Amino acid sequence: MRIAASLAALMLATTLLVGCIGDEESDLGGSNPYLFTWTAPEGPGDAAAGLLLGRMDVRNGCIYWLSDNGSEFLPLWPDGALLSTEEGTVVVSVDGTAVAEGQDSSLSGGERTRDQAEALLGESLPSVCNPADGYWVATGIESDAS
Amino acid sequence: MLSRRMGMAALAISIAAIAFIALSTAAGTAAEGPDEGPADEGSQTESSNADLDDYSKAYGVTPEEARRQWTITDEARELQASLRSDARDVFAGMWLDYEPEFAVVVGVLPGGEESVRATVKELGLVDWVRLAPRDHSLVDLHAMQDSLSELLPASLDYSSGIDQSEGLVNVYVHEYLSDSQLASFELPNGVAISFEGPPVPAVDVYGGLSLSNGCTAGFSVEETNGFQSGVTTAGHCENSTSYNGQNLPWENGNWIGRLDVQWHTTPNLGDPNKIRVTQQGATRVVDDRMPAHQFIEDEHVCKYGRATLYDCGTLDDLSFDPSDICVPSSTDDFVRVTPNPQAGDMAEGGDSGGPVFHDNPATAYGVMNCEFTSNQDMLFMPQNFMPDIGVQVDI
Repeated sequence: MRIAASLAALMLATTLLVGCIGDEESDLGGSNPYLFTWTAPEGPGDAAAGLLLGRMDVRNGCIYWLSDNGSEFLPLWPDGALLSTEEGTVVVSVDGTAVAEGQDSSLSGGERTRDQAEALLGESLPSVCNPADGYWVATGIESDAS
Repeated sequence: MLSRRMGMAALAISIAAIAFIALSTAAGTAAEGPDEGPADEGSQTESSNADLDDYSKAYGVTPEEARRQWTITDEARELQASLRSDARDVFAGMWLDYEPEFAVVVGVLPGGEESVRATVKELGLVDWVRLAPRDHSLVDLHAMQDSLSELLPASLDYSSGIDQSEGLVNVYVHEYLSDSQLASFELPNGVAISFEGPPVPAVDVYGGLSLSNGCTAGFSVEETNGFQSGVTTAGHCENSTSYNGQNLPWENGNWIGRLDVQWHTTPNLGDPNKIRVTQQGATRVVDDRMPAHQFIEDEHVCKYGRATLYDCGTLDDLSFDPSDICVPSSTDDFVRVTPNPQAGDMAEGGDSGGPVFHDNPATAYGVMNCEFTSNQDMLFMPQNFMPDIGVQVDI
């Protein structure tokens, strides 16, 4: 498992993070929000088949997902998710499908508790990223931002 | 200074003159009668008695007979007060009958007739009072009404009242419950329960429909204690959800171990025991439940999800232990389904919660919960684990 993050100030504030997005993955320089990623275990690739409708919201260095029903989740992105900006807007892409902050979209996957999320990541999550309603193990983005 | 004093005097005279004119006008208006405009309170005297006229018309009696019945009613108040205090063990209430003729009726428990008749006679009401046998005293009815909170679930929204003429405590449930659900409440003799709320809903929610949380409804369910009904979806889906703009309150659910299911009540919606099986909206009745221990490997099942719609396949693995990406800390109680050769992908994002079933009418097998990225298989949670969250598929 790997947690990728690159918000320099927040990284200094916590010792829990294990890494940050490298230059080859991001053009955000030193102000990246946290992007938490998980790595699929060996096996046939079974994954929760839920769908979270809503939009990405970046706040205090954390990438949240605000659902159409008003819930707030912290997505755990699949390994390989890329973080970038387009004209100052944060964009996350998974397997070539991108979503920009504020854009209506959906994440496939399923809900997790904080303990389950940390178990999946293999690391503790920083306290600054504390969603109101839960965590979402995202397996993909269901719509194309391009 | 002189000028100012003269001004003050002129002002005082003016005010007095205005007040005099106003009072004169008001008095004149009252004297001229109500049709001339708004009158002061208490200044109008009704020449007729509209209440008496209304009563006469309503019950088909002359004004004189109406007045006589009102007088009897007033006298019966004293009887009621006397019976409430002196015959509380046998007094079962009092009401008025208008057919076939006007009468004051007193409900009496067996054995109490003699003492009640004595009181009636003492008050000179023998000609107008008749007795009716009842099983519960008015005191007992009030006690039953007071005990309803102990007999009904705290979550149930209801009101109650006492019908003295019927000798019943009436419970009016405000959320829609079927007759069988209402009958499941264990209430004492003398308590009648019924649905009295919004009109019976015209919109239903049931398995196979798309919910606002991005997932698919599984089956209509009822609590194992029979109190409430609702619908399920997968446990890992967002708890906050609605259908057709109606909020579906989350009641219970989990996604750990052998569970991946949650259920919601359906206020203002019907939740019949059926499932959607086509994109066009065709449905099937669900009339049976198949527990996991009766599954047979390679048997035929079908499913419906909002993303991949209707497809069928076979039970490929009856003891599948999913990865943590599917269900954290899972057990080997999940079932893997392989699609038939002509079927497409069995599950994609959004299908979670959808019903897995067999035949028409349908037998419920379980609820979809996971897809496979490496092939077109899917996983589902057997429906017989739903009692872990307090519900079972409604059949």
